[in-house]
Amino acid sequence: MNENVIVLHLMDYTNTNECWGREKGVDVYLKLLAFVNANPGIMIFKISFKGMKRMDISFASEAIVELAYKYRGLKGFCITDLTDADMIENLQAAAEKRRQPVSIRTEDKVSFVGPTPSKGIEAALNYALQRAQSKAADFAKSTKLSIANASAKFKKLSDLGYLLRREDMSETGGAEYLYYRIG
Amino acid sequence: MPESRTEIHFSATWVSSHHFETCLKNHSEQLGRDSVSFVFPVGCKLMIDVSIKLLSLINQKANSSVDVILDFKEGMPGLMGYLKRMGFFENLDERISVLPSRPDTRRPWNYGWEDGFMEITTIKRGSRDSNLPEQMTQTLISSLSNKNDRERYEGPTWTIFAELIDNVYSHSRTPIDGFAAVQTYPASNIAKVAVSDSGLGILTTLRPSLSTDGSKLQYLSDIEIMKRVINEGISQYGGIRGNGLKGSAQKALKFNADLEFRLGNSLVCFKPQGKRYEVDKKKSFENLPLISGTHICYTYNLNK
Repeated sequence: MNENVIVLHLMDYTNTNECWGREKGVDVYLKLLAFVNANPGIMIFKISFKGMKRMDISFASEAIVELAYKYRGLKGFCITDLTDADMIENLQAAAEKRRQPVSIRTEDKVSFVGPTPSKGIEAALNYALQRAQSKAADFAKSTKLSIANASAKFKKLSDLGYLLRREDMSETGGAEYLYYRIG
Repeated sequence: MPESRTEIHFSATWVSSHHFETCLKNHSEQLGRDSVSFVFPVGCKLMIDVSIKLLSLINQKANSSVDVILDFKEGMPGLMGYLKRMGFFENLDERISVLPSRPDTRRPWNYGWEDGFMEITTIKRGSRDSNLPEQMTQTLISSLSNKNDRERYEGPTWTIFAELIDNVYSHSRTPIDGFAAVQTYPASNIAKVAVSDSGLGILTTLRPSLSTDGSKLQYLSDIEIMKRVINEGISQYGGIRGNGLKGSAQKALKFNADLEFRLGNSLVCFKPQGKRYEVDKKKSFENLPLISGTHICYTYNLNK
C-alpha cells in the first residue's frame, strides 16, 4: 500500500517554523487541501513537522485537525517528526475540541491525539495499530469475539476517524473490508 | 481648567489592577464627562498590566474627544520616567496632555532588561507581526535569568501570547492599536503577562452568536460566560472553535497563574483550583465604568 502514501513537509506550506493564529491556519489549510486534491489516488498523507519549532492551538485546529475532519473515513493524515511536548499538547487540545483523532507516528509506533477511544473499541484499535492493515475476521480469531461483533468495532473505529476502511474481496468471493492504520 | 473636569487621584504606592479599578469605580459617573485628569502623586508606581490598560483607556477617551490630562507630580524621576522607558508615551494619543510636560519619546537604545524592566509592544491594527509571540516570550525568558528552570516557561508562554494576540486580531475592529507587555517582579516572585486591546471585546462578539443559537448561555452574566470560555471553550464561531483562550488558560495552570479579564463593564478574575479555574468572586465585578476591548493579565507564580 506504499503507493497510497505520500509524505509532505509542513514547512513547505507555512514558510515559517512558528505558526500561530486562525488566519495562518486557514491559509495553510487551503494549501494542504489543494495538495490533497491534486493527489486523488493517495490514501494516507504523512505530514512531516521536521524543522517546525512552534505551533499554537488555533493554528493546529484550522490547518491540521480540520483537514483530518474533512476527510474522515476517506483519507488519513499522520503527523511525523513531531516530538515537541508543547506542540503535541496543542495538537491534542485542538483534536479533542473537534472530537477528531489525529495520528502521530514516532519511531516504532502510531498513536493518537484527540478524543480517547471508549473501552469497547480500545482492544480492536490496539490490534489494528500493530499492523499496516487488518481484517475484523482476523481480530475475531485472535479474541473470543464473534465476527459480527469484531466487524462492528472496526466499523466504529473507521467512522470515528481512527482507521481507514476499503472494500476488498474475501477468499470466498464475498465482500470484505480491509482496515488501514493511518501512518 | 473647566469646572466639570474629573480628577482621579491614585495612591503614592504600587497601583495594582484592583486599586486601579476601585479608583475608576469611585469616579464612575464623572468618567463620562468631557474632561478627565489622572493624577499620579510622588511615589506612585503602576503595575505593567495597569500601565497598558490605562494606556488603552485614555487612548479610547481621546478618540471619543474627551480631553485627557496625565498629571505626574514626581515628573521624570518617578513614574513618568518609568513609563517613558517602557514606550508608554510613544503609544499615547497625541491629543492627550501630559504634566509637567510631554516627554521626549526617544529612549536610550536597549535600556536594560537587567532590572526586570520591559517595554510595551504595540499590536498594530491591520498588519500581523508573526514574530510577536516569540519576541514577548524571549523577553520573559531573559528576565528569568536567575532561574535554573526558566526553559520550562518558554513553550507555554509562547502559546499563551500566540492565543492572546490572535484574539486581538480576531476581535479588534478599531483604529486603536493593542498592546502586549510582560514583566517580572522578583520581590514578590511573580511575572505578569498582559495583552490589552480596544476592539469589540470577547463578550461583544460572543453574545450575539449565543442568542442566534437559542442557547441558554445568552442569559448568563458576563462572569458566568467567561467561566465557560475559560474552562470549556466557547466561541463566536460555534462549538468547534473557542479553545484558544481555554488552551492558554490550561498553559497558565502550569505556573499556578491567576487570570484577569477586563471586558466592557466587567472584571472577571480566576484562581486555579486543581485542573480548572474558579472565579475569584472577591475580585470580580460587573457594572464597572466602560473600558472597550479586552484586557487580559496572567500572573505567574514563579514559586511553583
